[in-house]
Amino acid sequence: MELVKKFRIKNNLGLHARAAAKIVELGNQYKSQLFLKKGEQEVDGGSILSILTLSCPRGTEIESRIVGEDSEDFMGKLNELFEQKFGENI
Amino acid sequence: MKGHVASEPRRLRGIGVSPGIIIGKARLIDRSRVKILYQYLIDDDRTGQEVDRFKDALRAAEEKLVTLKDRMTDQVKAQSFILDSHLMILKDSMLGDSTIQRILNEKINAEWALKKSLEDIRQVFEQIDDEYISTRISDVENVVERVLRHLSGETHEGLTEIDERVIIVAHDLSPADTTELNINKVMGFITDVGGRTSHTAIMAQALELPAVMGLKCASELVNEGVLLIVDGHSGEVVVNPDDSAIINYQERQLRHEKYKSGIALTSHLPAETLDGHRIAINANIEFLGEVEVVRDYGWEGIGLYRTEFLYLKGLPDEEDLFEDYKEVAQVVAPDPVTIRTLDLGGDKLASGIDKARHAGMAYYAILLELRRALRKQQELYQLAHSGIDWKSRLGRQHQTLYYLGELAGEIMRTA
Repeated sequence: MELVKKFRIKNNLGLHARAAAKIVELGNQYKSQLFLKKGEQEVDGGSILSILTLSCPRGTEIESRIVGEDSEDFMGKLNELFEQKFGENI
Repeated sequence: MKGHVASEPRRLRGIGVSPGIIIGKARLIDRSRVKILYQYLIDDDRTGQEVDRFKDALRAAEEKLVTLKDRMTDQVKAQSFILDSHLMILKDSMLGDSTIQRILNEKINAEWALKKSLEDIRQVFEQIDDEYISTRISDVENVVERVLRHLSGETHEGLTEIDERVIIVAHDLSPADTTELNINKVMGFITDVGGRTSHTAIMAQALELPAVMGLKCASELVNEGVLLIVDGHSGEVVVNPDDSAIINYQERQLRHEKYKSGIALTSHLPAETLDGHRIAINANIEFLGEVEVVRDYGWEGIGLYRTEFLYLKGLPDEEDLFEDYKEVAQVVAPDPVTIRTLDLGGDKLASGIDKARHAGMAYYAILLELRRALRKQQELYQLAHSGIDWKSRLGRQHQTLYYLGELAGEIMRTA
């Protein structure tokens, strides 16, 4: 199954190393594959370096596409991660 | 002792990344790049072996990082995410898979292939228009260096083993290197590269190790064993200091220590004059991240949150600004925070801006404020009075806005 959802980066530092790491970590728990897209550029959401190269400061809108059997769970958790600003207090 | 040829004192200036003054002997750590060989592999057996050799090196590097992480003391545990991100880079397809593909397709040795992968990643990173992220290439370099060392079988001097009271001098220290330092012995460190936002600087602050980075060529100018004075606040390093410099810095050091312990002893007491007059001690901040630091010093709120830095990357979205203010207020609650919404004079921008432009900026700032004031007044007012979860004196903020709004109106009428 393929799911697509748009997110806005809300944390101050944007999608930096620590946040990207959390996305990769989450992805490792699922069989489905995550792709992140900003503008026309789509990257492998399982690669911290690829995510960083998307360069998403705060306020950026990115589209996430999850392909695979457990995509629904994955998307739910990913949504939480974005909503909670990757667990950052700052 | 002035027995041997005493070299002239020399002053270097870098970026003070972690405060404190230390005087001690230099210990040079060679963290220079591993020399690598470039080889073509002639048959397919060799490429297979080379892939295995690369995978072994990746595994060895991973084990080492995991050990480092496990050994982290509580003091630096909060920074373990730095090693986590290094572990992730190590396993990243842009690094590992692409290197393996290169070994197989281009029939080159692992070191060369890995170097090529690094260059590819560097190219992509260089195009990123975000200083924070583009400088993260140094994390990738650290990881690659680690793997290269394992590939070359080279074992470098373990930083863990340094058990003398020395000041580490290195071209570069990775955050992982920093966690290896025996902080009971090592006094602090200086490096040629790096800056205030580097992960290594963050580690130094967490460890409370005085450090100066970005000295450019300190590792070449400083000889093993010479005396150094490092001021992690001003960023000044004195090599071969003379007696007067030593005395001078010792005094500063004492003052700093005294000041610090004085603060620590009394900072949690209420600020009150002898006749019982209470004075609120507030801290000024520029970034939300500073709240945690100033909290330790017995603050009673944020006297001034300077928000201009939010503007330096271009005009921020109004909603984002509002969210940011709210976040600060929430973190600081129940203590009050005064937000300076905008003081965007030319002095906040690059130097060399001419006066007319400066005046223009100020005028622009007032106009912006006016617009925002009218729009946000209501909302801020509501926020200030809805303070059940978080009580904050946003009422003052509201007043400020109102004042600025009026002022702008005044100016527009007279202009």
